[in-house]
Amino acid sequence: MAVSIKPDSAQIKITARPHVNTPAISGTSMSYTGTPIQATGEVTLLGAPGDSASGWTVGFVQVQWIETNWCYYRGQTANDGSIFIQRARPPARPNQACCDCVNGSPPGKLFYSTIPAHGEIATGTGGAIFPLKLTVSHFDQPADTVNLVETNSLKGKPNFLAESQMEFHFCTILSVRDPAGKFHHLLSFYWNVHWQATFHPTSFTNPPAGFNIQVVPAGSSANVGHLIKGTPTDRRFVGILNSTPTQSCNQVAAAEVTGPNRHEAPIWQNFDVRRA
Amino acid sequence: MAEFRRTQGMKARCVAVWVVPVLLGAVSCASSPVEHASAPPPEEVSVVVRNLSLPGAFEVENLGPDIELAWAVTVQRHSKSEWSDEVTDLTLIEKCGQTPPAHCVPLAHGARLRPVRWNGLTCGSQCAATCRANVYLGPGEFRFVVSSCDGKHKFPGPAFEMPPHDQWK
Repeated sequence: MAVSIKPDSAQIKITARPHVNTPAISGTSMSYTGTPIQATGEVTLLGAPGDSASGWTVGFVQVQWIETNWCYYRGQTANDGSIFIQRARPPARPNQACCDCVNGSPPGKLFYSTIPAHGEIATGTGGAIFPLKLTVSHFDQPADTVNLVETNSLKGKPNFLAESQMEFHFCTILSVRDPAGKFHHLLSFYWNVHWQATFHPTSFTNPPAGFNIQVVPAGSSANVGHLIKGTPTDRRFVGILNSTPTQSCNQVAAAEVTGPNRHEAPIWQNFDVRRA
Repeated sequence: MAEFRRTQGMKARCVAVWVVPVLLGAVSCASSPVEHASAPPPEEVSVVVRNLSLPGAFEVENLGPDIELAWAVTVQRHSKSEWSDEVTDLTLIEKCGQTPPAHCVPLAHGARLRPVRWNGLTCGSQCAATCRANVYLGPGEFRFVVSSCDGKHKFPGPAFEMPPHDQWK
């Protein structure tokens, strides 16, 4: 009898649901943080005495399939100009979907982390006793920052953070990789974190003494969906699952921060946040 | 906290241990039985990494000649009698928002650095950062390793326990 995945044995338990914090000043940045999402997962392998579970790996895979990430700056007066920074559209971010794996874990492996100490994967061994239950855990705590002040090059004036919106949507999948390297995506759930707020500096110094921060309630939340059986078929990210990603979401996000789409105006101008 | 409770004699012994930090990489001040007669001559490289009272908090003191330190600090996990590197973005940053140095961090003889405390995360290890995937590395036994700018000298600190995430404060 060959080793196989016990039907319907995949289980995920969400042990901590994420919450978002109100944006807060951190040095010269506005930080967007929250509490972590945590989950456990288990899958049972079947086999006969003498079979080897070597080469079988259970673990979490995570893709990010939506990123909203823009911020708007205004000078002290209308003639000091305004700036719109768009990070989440091409060319700053060429694609919405990416393979989310921790720094130090190769995205080409698809798993969220292949580093054993992280506990995100569990591997079978040669002397396993069947049925073999493999258990794993999952942790994520996404965050981001933007500068408090940007200099408007058209006016040579400091422009102050006035509004921002961030939305990160993920799908987390409990998967098994068999000895042939084929992935079996068994159970998944969607989750997301949103931050949106308006800001007004308490002084027009650089950096400002502080900011009055008004959270936009409709744009500030953290949500976790229900469990979905079977291989994900969502066309918005299924391509990631069927490929060998070369970049992680952390790398994609770092690049969009380094080279965002930047639009400057000599006056206080409204920008269409949907555009690049 | 334990570091501050030491007597001067204990401190001197601890200092001596770090004279050859590369050779004694796995030895912590707190547990070392190694005895030395005196503090190192000032011309010898001697940087001490001390844990502070809260897990993840540490300070760096230069007891040797002026030195330049690497900005990045390595976090190591103790597992199966070995220390292995973890991937984090931990640095010698002393205040969130501080501009990273162009090259390295100068530390004069006798000077101390108190970096922002490590929060146990792989990304945004000290200050908020751009992170999508992010893992909390505890619980477990860890230590910090500070390096000279050229990487030739490694200065491991003593081991400390990181609690589970829900107990980290």
